[in-house]
Amino acid sequence: MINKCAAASAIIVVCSLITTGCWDRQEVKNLAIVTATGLDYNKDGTYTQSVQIAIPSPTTQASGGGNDQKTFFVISAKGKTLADTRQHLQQTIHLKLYYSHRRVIIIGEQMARNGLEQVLDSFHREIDMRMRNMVFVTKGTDAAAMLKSPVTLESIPADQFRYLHLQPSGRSTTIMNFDATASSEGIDPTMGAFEVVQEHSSDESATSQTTAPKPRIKLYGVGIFKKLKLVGYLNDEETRALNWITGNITDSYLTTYIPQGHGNVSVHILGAKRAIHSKVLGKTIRMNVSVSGECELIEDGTDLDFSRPENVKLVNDILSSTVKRSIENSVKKTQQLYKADVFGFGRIFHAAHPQEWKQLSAPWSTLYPQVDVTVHTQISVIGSGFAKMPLYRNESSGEVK
Amino acid sequence: MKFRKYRSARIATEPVLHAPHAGCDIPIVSTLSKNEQLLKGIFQNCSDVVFHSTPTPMHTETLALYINGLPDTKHLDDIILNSLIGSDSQSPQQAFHKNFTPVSMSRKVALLSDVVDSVLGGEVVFLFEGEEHGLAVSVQGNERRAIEDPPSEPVIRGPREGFVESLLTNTSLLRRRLRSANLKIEMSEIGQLSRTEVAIVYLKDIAKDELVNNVRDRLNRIQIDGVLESGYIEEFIADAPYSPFPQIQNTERPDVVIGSLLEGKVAIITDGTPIALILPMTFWAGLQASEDYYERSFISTPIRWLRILFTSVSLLLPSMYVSLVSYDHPALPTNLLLSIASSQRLSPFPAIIETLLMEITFEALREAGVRLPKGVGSAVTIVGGIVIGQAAVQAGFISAPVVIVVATTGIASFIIPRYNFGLAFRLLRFPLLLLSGFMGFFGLMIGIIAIIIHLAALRSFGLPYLFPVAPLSMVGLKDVFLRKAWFSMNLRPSSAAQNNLLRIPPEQQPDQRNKGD
Repeated sequence: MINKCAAASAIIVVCSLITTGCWDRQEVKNLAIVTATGLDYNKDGTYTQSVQIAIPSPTTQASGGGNDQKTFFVISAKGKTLADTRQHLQQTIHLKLYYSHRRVIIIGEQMARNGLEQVLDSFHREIDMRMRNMVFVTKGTDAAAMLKSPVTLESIPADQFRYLHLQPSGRSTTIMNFDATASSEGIDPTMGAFEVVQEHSSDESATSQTTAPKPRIKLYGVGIFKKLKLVGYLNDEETRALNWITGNITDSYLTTYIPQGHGNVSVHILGAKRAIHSKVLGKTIRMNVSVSGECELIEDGTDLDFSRPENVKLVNDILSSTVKRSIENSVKKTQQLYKADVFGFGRIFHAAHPQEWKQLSAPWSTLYPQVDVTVHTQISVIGSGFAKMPLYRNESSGEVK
Repeated sequence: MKFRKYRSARIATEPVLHAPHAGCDIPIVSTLSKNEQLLKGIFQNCSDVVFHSTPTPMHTETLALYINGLPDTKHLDDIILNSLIGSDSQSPQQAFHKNFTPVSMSRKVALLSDVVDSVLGGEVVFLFEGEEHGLAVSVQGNERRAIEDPPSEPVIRGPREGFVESLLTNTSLLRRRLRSANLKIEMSEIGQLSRTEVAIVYLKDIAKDELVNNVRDRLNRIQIDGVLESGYIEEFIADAPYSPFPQIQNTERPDVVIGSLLEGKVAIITDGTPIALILPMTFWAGLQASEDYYERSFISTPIRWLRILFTSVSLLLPSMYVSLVSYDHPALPTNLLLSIASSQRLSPFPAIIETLLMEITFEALREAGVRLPKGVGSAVTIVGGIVIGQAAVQAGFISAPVVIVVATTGIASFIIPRYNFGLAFRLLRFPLLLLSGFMGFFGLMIGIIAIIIHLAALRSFGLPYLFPVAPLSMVGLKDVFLRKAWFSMNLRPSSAAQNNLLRIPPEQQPDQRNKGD
């Protein structure tokens, strides 16, 4: 009896092992690992999809200091839909295109201006799509060119986008966040924007004199979307203002000219707080934005004596007004030029005044340009970095105000 | 489906009973020559049996009977024969009793079969003319290994004595460590032909009675012609002989035996082998080394964690690697995926084949290293290292990560302190590897679940194999994932102990109060 059971179970196990499984087996060497995808819209109404495929880094012994080793290559294909382009892509490479490790999706400017409905639809249906892929938009180039620009010091080429956007004027959006923002009322989505700049080799050696200028990727700011269409960009400074309002300003520097000190100061922002309150005054909606930040002085080109409180106050005031001006400019730009509420004022208003929100005469996107935004900023330098006056400032220069 | 049909005809199950001298349950007669004749018939063709006739001053014929080499002949000559010759007392027997009972073991024998048993047991039997019983004197020779460092369980800190092949030496080693009349050593013989002496050792009032009885019963049931090593016994008495996991711990170290006895366990010591058995065994006992208890608990505890970690590594790493690179690439970090892809690109085999090949090669190397004479062993290591490590990769047979995985697995499997416990993991690695090769992580999980079910179902002499963890026992847990300090391990684990659970009175923690000031 025992023997019967044992024999039967052994047969079952062996059969199930032989007859199941293994169809999913996919050796790593047969995969083309896609690290980034670029999407472009052509004038004839077709799409171009480019994929950046990482070349598995050969073992270290082969690389004799060759820092120009190609770590990736890009292939592109045209098609009527994105799925169509994917199929055309697969026809040009013998390995299975493998999207699970894709990190970044770059959307060309034309594509973005044309609208993202179809792109998002495709993304939502793709089986190997990670909703936490970052999406960026290009400025002035198409996505394919951006993907092709060389990368140094990075084995996963697409990671440069992920690390670049960590700069203070960068903003990262994942597909998931973009969806959520785009589908909610009272806020318009943004996407980090990159541009390609031609970099002239700065080294003086004779060999590099002859080399053509290399394209490099540079963080530009954000692209602003309205109804899933790109309507414009905010540049570096405007993006910082956006970050001030949304409370994302971190590890950022601020430089401004102090006329009384005949020079510039740079401060390092240590922490920032913001509070936005909405008010309804008759017909107009007012948003009170108050931003406060603490910073330390990191570079001082002025001749002010920072041991004096009035000088510190002076610098604080100038810094605050600088920030205030930049925030006001950005808000104005979004209100008048793009009519897109990227700051999410509508959302805040909705949360604070649900009743009034229901009785709005028109959709928020049309009301937004008339919203009255007042900005209060208070930036204070908490560390001047001086225990005493520096030695090189002798008394004879005697500026001290 | 009748398998019975194909079975060969059953062999007679009657064992060859040990009857080398059948029909000699007859008493010794008073005629010496007749006895001699009978005995010579029994020991026919046994060239090593010596019949030594000694005349005594009383002119009574005396026959000394022994197996050449077993008794200490010098001892025999010096003491016994001299006394025989020099004694002018009433009878040689009385001379014996007077002179040598204190010195050595001697007893009367009345049956011929007793004579034979004594002779085979290495004693010297004296038969006297006109006497109806002989005298068996034990003058054991001592050709045996000296007590030395146990080679299979070396320690850095701890006693360096290991068991030897002689049962009596081994029991004396135990007695020396536990001077208590509660330390019981019950001898019995197992094996019809080998008549191997086996001792059950336990602490009365600490070990559970039913456990001791259970062990006794299982030992008494064994019928076999010869027992050469305690492994014979282990297979006869284990609960699940076909489980890969050992349910009986074995050790060469007397201190380990004593430590287990103090926890209420039972030890079985077999003559002729230095390996003692300890039961019941739990899964966690396989992960503990004697040194854990000698080194400070602050150090022993993290070392235990390391062992648990690497035990699971030795079981799972190859199959995890295979499932990651053949099925579940999304779970790998991209950098790792890229470097694996670059090295795999050079090798011709799929990951499962590579890993299997290398694992089998490694196991073969390991086995070769154990079996070879010491001088050759190092050569094997060098060749194996070069073949496994460099050449296979450089020739493009095997990808480099596989070598790393196999090497790590090898190192991890050496960390398991109990050799027989490590063998289970060594074996189970392969089914898991096949499962993950066929089904990826899904198969691996099936395998792990099967192993856990098996472990949970396993019993060792009535004790669940995963004892302090499943079923949970807080007292036992003090000695599984942690090795709490001695002053806080107050209670015996209730696994095998029955009463006297308190072993260390509480509140002995060194603190500010009993620091000298």
